[in-house]
Amino acid sequence: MNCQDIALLLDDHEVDDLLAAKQPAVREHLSACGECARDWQIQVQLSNAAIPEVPAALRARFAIRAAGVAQPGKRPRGRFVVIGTCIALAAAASILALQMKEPRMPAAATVVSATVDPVPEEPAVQVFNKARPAATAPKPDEEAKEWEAWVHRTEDWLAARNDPDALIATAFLLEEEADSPGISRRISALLQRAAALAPESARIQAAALQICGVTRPCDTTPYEQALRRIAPDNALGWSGEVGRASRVDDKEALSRALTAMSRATTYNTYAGASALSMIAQVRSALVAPPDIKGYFPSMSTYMAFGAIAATATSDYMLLKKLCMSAADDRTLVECSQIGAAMQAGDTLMHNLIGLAISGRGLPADSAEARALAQQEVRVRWIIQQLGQLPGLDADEPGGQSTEAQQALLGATAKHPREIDVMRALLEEQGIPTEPPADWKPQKQ
Amino acid sequence: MPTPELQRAHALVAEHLDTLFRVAYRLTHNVPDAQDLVQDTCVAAAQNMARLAAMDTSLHWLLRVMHNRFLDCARRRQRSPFIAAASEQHARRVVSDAPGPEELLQQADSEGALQRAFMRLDDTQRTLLSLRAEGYDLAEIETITGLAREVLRMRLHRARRTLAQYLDESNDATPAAGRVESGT
Repeated sequence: MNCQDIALLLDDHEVDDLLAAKQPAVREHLSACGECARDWQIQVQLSNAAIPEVPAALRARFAIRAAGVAQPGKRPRGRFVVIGTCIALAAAASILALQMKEPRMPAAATVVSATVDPVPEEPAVQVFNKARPAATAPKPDEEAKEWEAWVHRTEDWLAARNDPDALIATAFLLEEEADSPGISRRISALLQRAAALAPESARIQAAALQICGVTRPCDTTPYEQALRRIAPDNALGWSGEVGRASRVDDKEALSRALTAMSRATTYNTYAGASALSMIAQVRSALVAPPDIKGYFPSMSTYMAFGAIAATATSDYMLLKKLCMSAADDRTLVECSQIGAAMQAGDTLMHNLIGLAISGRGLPADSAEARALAQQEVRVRWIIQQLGQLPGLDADEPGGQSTEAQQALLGATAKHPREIDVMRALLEEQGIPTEPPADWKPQKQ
Repeated sequence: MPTPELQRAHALVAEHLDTLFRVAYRLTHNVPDAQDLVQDTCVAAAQNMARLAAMDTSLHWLLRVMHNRFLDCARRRQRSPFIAAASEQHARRVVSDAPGPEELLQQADSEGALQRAFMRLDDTQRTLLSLRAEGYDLAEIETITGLAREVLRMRLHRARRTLAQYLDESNDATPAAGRVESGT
């Protein structure tokens, strides 16, 4: 044992391992070498240093914005695949919140054409404004309880119906609490009922698959099989197989699943249609969702719709990793085909991952690689232009504009793909959807 | 409402909020600054969502964004005479040669001494030691910071030695200061 060995231990082992590694040889060296002993002590001290809990305001900020994704100690979920028309979902949420100020009877909602009151002007959300008076700061615990109570009242109302859309909407609402065993059983039962009521609906089967995919325990197999039967060209139906095979390192099963998936021509989550359906269902709730003090009025409903947007198969990242590290020719070809299907998919995130996967293994100066790079530039142009449209960002002074929300919902109803929704919104504003020839995406 | 990219970034950050905050706190040793760094990371992430596809895990990608934001902020601090002055004042307070009674008490606490010594390190050294203290191995730190493995080894080693030196200086200063205080 010498100083270099100690340095290697310090650089590549965690503290517990460091302590466990204090075997006689290490101890002997440390007792003889003051510098190494000092380094060792510092590493252990740094690792054990007290770190404060995440402040409640910070947690509330992200919990609300990301539809209740992260709670301490909860298992990680595949939330970051925000499926489909998030912007439209948020707009829809705002409209709903405005419409649901008063309790209303169930109505057959045509959400897009709904008339809404003007959005009241609220100050922008500034949780990080340290000068914000404590009295107006949100109280996450109370709000969470109020929200939870509303979800359960709405669950009773919606789950009583024998309507697959109502059952899926209920499962979406409950998904935020899917870590609780009781809730996960209820979600599973709701999904089974919904799927049985709509055996030929790809949208319902896909929604059941995605909600089930982030609920433990829940068996996604029946929904995958149904989706593959109804929509054999949709790669989403194979994502579960790929995930399971990869997790248990079953190379044969993985190869079979990748081959099957590579025959698909698209990767659809049906997010836009699911969002509009969810809006209609929640609108029919007898009691309006609670607003959260300190945030703009639509935030509570926005949480519900964020839950839809954020619920997606957790296996996409795995797929990306598999394809990005693929070494053999066959897998590379299959991954390229899967990438093409993802590019044709309905969510922007899948489109972008599809571009990355498709570009894997291509010479940088090849025509194909250049075409993919150009396509990514186009997508990023659209993202950037949309981000600059006035009236879309709740954090802007004045908050959201009703017109922008209506436009978003309208575009969502017309276009199944998120990228087309965004394109339509830009066209409506007279903004070019193609970047100038010399435009480069902003780099960090 | 946020743009789709910002909403995705929020979802990503929410997924890893505890880890991001822990690393941010290790870097800044200050809760408000750590909060701001997490928020900055989210905003920067929103502008760079396409890069997600190039990273093995979203957490590594976010940590990379945070690392870059942290270094950018440090550079900005250095460029701005106003902020630099405030920062200098802060540094003087935390590594004061003439501590006040409260600080003397704090200095008796080895964690406080470690914290003050840590804050004297340069930004890269703080990042590397913070990530290592959070349990990231060299391969992961390489992904996050973009520094080559051998460079990382060298810098980590140098960071630990510098920290030890600052701690020693702090230990040497404390009894002397204590004597001055007790003698007055």
